[in-house]
Amino acid sequence: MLEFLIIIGIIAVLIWFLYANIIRKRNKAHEAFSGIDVQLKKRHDLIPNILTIAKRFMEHEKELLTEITRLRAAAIDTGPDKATERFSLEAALQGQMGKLMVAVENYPELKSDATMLNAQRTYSEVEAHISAARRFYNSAVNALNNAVQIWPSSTIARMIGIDAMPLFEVSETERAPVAAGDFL
Amino acid sequence: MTLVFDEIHPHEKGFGAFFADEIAPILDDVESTRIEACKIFNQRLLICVLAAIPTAAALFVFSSIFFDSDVSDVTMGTLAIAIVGAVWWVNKPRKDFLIAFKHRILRPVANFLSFHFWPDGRDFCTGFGETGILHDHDEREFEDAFAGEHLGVDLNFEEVELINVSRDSKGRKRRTTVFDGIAATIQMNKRFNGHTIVKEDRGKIGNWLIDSFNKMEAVALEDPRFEDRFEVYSNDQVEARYLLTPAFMERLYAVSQAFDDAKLRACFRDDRLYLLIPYRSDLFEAASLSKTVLDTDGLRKVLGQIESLRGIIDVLKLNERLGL
Repeated sequence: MLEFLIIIGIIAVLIWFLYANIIRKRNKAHEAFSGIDVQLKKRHDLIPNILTIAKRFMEHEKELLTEITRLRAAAIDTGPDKATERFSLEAALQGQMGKLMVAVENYPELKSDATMLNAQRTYSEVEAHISAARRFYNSAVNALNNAVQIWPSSTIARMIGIDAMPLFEVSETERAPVAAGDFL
Repeated sequence: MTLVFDEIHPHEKGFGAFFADEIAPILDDVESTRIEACKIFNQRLLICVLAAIPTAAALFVFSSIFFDSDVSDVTMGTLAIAIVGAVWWVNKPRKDFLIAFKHRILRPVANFLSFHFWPDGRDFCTGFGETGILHDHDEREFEDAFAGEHLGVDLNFEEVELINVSRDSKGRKRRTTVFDGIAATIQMNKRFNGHTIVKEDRGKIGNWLIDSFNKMEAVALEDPRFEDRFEVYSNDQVEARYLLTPAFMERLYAVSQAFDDAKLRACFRDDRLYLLIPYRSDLFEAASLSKTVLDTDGLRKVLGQIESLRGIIDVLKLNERLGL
């Protein structure tokens, strides 16, 4: 009888460890997802500054500047419950900002302006942090998905209703090779 | 005979002219000093061999025959102290010459490369206290410290040996070297919010044991070759990945390869990159008592070693403002 209780106890402890491990990994994935949000907010805060500087010099890029302003507002207004739409808008915003940075090269005065240089440097840092946040998210989701898909923790995951989460992936347009002609 | 330094490698560019102006004129004098030191070394060695050791041996035999074991132990202790003293006395001319060489020759060479140089070291490891990469140790020996800049980046490095002192079951002191190599500090162009360290991988069980007691979290990275070799810990997962991009991981791996596949340790903290690079060979030793200083091979070797350390900045691209 005692041996039986000990075995039951050991199994219960093991099950608890597996359960706690899955919960921990899920929370880590959520934390990483929020981490991306934090970095994206930094980008949103920086963009008006860059647009203000650019507007003074870039008379022929009104369409581009307007589109960036629209995308930024749309991304901010899209709630965290619409993650896919949000990331799609952020990807589009990133693409337009890339075009803006390339267009700056056509305006020598703007290119050499100290505040613009500083803003570009800061933007570059922010983009690097966004990339790092995405890598953290993918790492956390990978760990969660391994726990959810590999037995015996997969059984526990099914019982408590925790599913695999999607990895952050670039869109097909971002995977396509860059056409230099679009920028020159 | 006019001494000439042939510039063979790219990093030696300009050194030939400096050598001709500043080093060659004093080398004859340094060589005379070496010959004199060598003579004194040989004399002292001969004295020890001919006089001291047989005398001590006779004393030992005499006391073990005519006295009990306690006195014999005292004689043994006296003999040991005498031998240690003899070794120190014999080696003194050699050590004095090597130190003088470093002051007279290596210091100007370091200045040519825009470095300050201290042959006795500066104990740069005192700045490593909070990094989490310094091996536990009881004593520290250091020498050959350099401080300067390369490509606008401040760089300090020196040779350091970290030693653990323990006592065995009989109470005898035992000294074990836990690290022997280079300690380097590089000033970065920005301040870090977090604390990220890179250490050698200890295998699954070793890493698990370390993780259990570590306040920082392990950071899982994408480069399998880097992951096999190193283990990364940080209190900021995003910043750790911001620092350790795939390109930077490749470069850090290249630094490890440049130093004979060294299991280096790194720490990003405040505004500095701290590096510990284990390296078995003695570095920055351009001279030897038994070899003429008129042979420039020693200097060439030291130039190469300094270039390898400056090259860390090149390889890691720490002078560029993109990202880091």
